[in-house]
Amino acid sequence: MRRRYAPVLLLGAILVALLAGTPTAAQAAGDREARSAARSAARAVLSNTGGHPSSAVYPEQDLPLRFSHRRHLEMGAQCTLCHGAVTSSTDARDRNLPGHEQCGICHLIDQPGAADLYPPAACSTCHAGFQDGDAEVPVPLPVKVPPARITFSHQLHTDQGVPCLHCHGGVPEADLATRSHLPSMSTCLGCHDGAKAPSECATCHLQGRGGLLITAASGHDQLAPRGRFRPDNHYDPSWSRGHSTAARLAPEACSSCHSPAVCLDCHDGKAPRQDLHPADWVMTHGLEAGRRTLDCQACHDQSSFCSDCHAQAGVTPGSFPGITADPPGQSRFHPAGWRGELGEIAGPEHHSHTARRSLETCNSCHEQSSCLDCHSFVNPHPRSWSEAPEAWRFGQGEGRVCLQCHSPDDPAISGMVR
Amino acid sequence: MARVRLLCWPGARGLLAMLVLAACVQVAPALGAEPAGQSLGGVRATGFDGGAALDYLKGSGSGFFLSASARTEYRLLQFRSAHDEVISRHPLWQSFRFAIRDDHPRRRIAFEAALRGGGDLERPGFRGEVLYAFVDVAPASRWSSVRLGRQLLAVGGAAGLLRFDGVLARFNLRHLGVEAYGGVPLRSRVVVLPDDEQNVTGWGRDWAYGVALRAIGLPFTQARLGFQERFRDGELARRQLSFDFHKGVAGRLNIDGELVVDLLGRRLEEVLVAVDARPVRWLGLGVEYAHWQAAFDANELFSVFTTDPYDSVRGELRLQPLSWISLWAGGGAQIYPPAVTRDNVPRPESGRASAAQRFGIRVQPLSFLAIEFGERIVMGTGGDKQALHLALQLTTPKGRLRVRLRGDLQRYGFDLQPQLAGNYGSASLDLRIRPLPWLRVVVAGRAVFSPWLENQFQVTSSLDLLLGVRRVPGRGGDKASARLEDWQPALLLATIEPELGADPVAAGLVGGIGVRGQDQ
Repeated sequence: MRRRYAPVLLLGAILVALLAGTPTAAQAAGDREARSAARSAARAVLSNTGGHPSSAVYPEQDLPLRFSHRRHLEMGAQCTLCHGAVTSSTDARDRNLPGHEQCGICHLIDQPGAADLYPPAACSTCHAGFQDGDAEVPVPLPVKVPPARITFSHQLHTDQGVPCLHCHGGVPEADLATRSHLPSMSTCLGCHDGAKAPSECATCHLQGRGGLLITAASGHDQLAPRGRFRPDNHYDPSWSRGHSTAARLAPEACSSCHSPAVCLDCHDGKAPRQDLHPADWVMTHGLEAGRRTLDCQACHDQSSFCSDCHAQAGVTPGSFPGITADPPGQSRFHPAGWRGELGEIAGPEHHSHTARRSLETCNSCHEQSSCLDCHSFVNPHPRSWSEAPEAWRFGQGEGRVCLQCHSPDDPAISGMVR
Repeated sequence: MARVRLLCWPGARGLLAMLVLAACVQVAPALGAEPAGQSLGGVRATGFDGGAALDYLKGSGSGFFLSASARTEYRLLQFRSAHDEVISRHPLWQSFRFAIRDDHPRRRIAFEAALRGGGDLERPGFRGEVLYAFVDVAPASRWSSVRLGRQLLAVGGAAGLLRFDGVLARFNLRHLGVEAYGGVPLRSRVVVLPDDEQNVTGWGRDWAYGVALRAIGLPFTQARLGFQERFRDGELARRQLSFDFHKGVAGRLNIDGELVVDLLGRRLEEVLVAVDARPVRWLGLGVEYAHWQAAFDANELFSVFTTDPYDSVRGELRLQPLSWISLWAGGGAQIYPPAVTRDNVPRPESGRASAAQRFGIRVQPLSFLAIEFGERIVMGTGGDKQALHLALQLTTPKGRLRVRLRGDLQRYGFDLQPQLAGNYGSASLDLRIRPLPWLRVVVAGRAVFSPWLENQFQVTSSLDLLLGVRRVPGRGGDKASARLEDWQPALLLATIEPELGADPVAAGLVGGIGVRGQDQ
């Protein structure tokens, strides 16, 4: 009997011991309420929560404090009275907040009868949620102000005569200063425009061991180029297409991190990066090159890159005698009917359609002499071309190209070419 | 004799190159010198990025910086030609990059250069070139800057990356920046050169100049209006007007615009209007309209032909519901004018529209593991293509080793080349090793399976060394010093461990030159 109930008794004893050694539910609830009240009190004194600075730069803070910048400034206090270390601070990690030492200049902290003094010096005067003599909350709730993730020197800025309110606007009207009183990037860029002060990203943003900017922060936060520096994250799939606009509009932003060599890694077309296309791209690029779904010439030098490979692989036109090693009419690249016969109406596979749709693709392999091989004796113009308004407009504008085939005294262009 | 035969086999040389590179990697870790990225003596020691970026930072905003790097790149490409011949190519490049900057909030002077030389191991000849080499000066107060030498400039349009020998000046007025440039453009882009002119730079015959006005210092607003003229063989070949615009609204909405007009050809080359919204942190939406028409030099015969413009509309959706998962989906259509022959006969069978759609998902459940799946469909005029890819990436902490496996499968049907239709596939392995901040090795192999040109194989290997400076022994105290005389060039970034010596550089150069030597 005793053995049968032994495990139950043992379990009961353990539970009793645990319950006796831990706060009761009521106690725990009370503790939670106390802490909740403290935080509520802290939040209640926040008078300016409109701004939402990036938590990737300014991590979230916990400020269970009662404090009014407004009242202190109204009473004649200067910023440096409490934040005196600022003028010599050269690191954003410096904690330039006042401690008991600075507060104690006016508030006689830890003095007998502090609660009755003026200015008041009781713990609860500043520490929200702290009840003097309350054993339930023996110590004030900690103030958590993680350092900003930037490179910053207060000393440099104060030496330049930058007033505090230039970056910390709104503080004189605020009670507790919060993250919203820290300068946003647009504030910084007001001076750091590349003229008055440097505008390179790394001037302010932290660099990693590899030398590049640290973009990852805790949780979801990530420092990404947005707003003035394009919306696109470099890791977005669209960045490979959209970065050209950014390069034109803000080249100094690119050069903060990248040397010109990075542009040439892709854009010189001789040793291009190989991870931009699928591995079998060399086999299947023709469709998209012809359709111009992608902009090949943004990276590739068509006259050398494309034609060099096509020539070696034998993927060259075979319809034009004397240009390719392919026997006439046996090209493996262009289909039958590509060239067409004189006098025939061109079919859908005729090269004129592709030439009109993406002439620059033809330009990959062909020189203009390729066209002239045939078109010097096959009129490439549509019927009634010489009477067409566009022909006259062309001749009057850039008629010199007409002279590549026509002699200046050719009656066909008489009066047309200026 | 057997040894000679073995070396004659192209794959043996590629294998040998990889082994040499791998040996370098084995040697390097023993040499220490880890803490790059540290600021020491006013000089920031930089290192290669552990991730996918190819670059390293030039240095932070203020101070004296000196950095240099070397890259050896070797590729083996083996494929079967249309005439059933096995073709092998062995391009080998060696490049050097160098930068020295004295950068201060109120002034800057810098010199940057990159050189590259190379050739094919199977072919005679060596070609070297200066990729860029310029002096950059920003005098007092930075209200102006001048860049002199061979340089790159993004001027407008898809092919608007201008590389030229000349001068670029920028003047920053209040909210208005003026940009002026002029010089000799390199003959490399979108031009057809006769064989005997392939290596001609155009000096004395080609010129380009341009001016641009830029809006500066306006929060969340950027604009650039540019004008450019290019002369080829002494004749005016292009006259281009471009406009770029960007406006950010409340950090949530971004509006971009782009316009390029070919004034000589009287063509609207490019129009782009794009709106990108990020209403909440985990959601991104974008739509864009684009218009495109080919433009050629006015003195080229190609410019006489009428080319069809196209209009396209694209949309994109990006989702990141959790920090470790991201999805993107997009699609769009391109519309062409009706096809007609030169006899003005309509050819409706040529089609007028094509469309593309894609979807991708990237999952990174663990910090060292990422899986990506993507799908892409192209359809409409010209042919159809369906593509799938799956990639797996493993990255060790601190990015010292990255292994990426990728498989591709594509079904391809091109109306103009029906003989190419079929299933294509490929597998690739990409190995990126960065044992030290100043050394990086990349080895990639790709095998392509196709019904047409069979058995393609590629090996790409590169070795990057970040060279640097060292503090002169005995100079400078414990305090940081930015004085130039305290530093001297060194073959390695040895600012932290000056006793490193130059052995790894020697090993790295053997990786490139050694392969070349075997061919001789």
